[in-house]
Amino acid sequence: MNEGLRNTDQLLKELKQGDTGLLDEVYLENRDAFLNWIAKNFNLKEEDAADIYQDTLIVFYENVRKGKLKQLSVNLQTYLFSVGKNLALKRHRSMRLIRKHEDELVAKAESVEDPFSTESDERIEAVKAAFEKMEEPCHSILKRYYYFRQSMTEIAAALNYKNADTVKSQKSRCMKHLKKMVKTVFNG
Amino acid sequence: MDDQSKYQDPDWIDAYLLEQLSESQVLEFEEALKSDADLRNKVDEYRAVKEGVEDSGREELKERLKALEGLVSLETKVSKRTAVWYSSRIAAVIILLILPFYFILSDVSDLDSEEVFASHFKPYPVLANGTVRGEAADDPLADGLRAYENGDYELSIITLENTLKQADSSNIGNFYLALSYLANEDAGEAIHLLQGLAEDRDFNLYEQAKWYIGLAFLKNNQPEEARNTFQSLYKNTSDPSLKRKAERILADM
Repeated sequence: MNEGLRNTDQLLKELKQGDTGLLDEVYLENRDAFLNWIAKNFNLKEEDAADIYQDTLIVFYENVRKGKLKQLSVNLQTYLFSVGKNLALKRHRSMRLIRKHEDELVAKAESVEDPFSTESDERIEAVKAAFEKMEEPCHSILKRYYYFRQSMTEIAAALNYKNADTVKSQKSRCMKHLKKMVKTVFNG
Repeated sequence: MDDQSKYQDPDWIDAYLLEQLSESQVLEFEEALKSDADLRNKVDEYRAVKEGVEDSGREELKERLKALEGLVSLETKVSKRTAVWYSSRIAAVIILLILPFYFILSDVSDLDSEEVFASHFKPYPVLANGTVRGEAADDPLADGLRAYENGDYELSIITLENTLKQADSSNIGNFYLALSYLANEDAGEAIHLLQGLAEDRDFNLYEQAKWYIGLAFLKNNQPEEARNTFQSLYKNTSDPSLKRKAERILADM
């Protein structure tokens, strides 16, 4: 393994601090071993195996950013295999279920109405669509805050704001602006 | 602020949704949620923002990993093809040996430099570099950077060139102009612009400029200059990520 990735504590710390280029390195370092292992154990096509590997890396990265993964009790590859195994099993199960009970599932899905969940999904989609159209600095502030989980102080430093309070006020304006944009999406 | 209304504060709502509250605070907050319909609505609004932004960020990351996978599998296919070619045409090697030596060397180095460049070049992100984009809608620098981010390098070159003509020379503008040239296959112009930036220690991306000079040399089929640049970067940088990148690209060369 690459000298730079030998120390996993350091790796987690650097990823948490926002070194996204490092995730590419993790991807490349573990790719061959993961793809060989998962293809052999789950009889997957090359593109499905790569898809699961990408999702595994995203789960890993998000857990680090959210502070859920601060230390690893096993080596990184074992951790990735374990996440990948769960994702593959989940996919495998749902595929089997879909194949086996396709008709029943469709019938069941049609008969169960969950307006809250539908509405909620629509609302998230509308927010996503509006957010992707947002201009700077709002796009970057909200992304750093909610996706990369950076603190106001970290955002202030990264985007050259005076201090955390200035970012906080700007974020509040951005939320209002986003709300307006979402309303426009909803109203067509 | 009374006890109940304090939960309406966006800080409380965000902390709840981002799982930053202690166990007892979560209980307090959820108790307030039960009895306050306004608060529930507000939490739902914030949750939708959080999840919408998260979905968007996740999709962006997925696209990036897919692009990386595309590069790696392309590289694997190229090397497999090369191996098959060599094993089935050993006799052809003899013919190659009688060709002028320089021809073989230059031909091989063309292919290698281009491949190494393609697998290591990624346009430097605008949002992650600590710079602020202009907020005004008619800020030409912001327009140039937006075109760059959208991958419209011809437009970013025109816009950034104009910006630099009108205003005092801006390092950031020059940096992204150089990268636009590099992404637009004009490595010579990129080298010219990046060299000044890499020597300016006051420019906070001067080491990144050095990294891209190395890549531009590769693109320009100057592997020796590229190697020297990466070796110097590897030896001198204090940025662990750049050091690793330099180490990796040197290994690939």
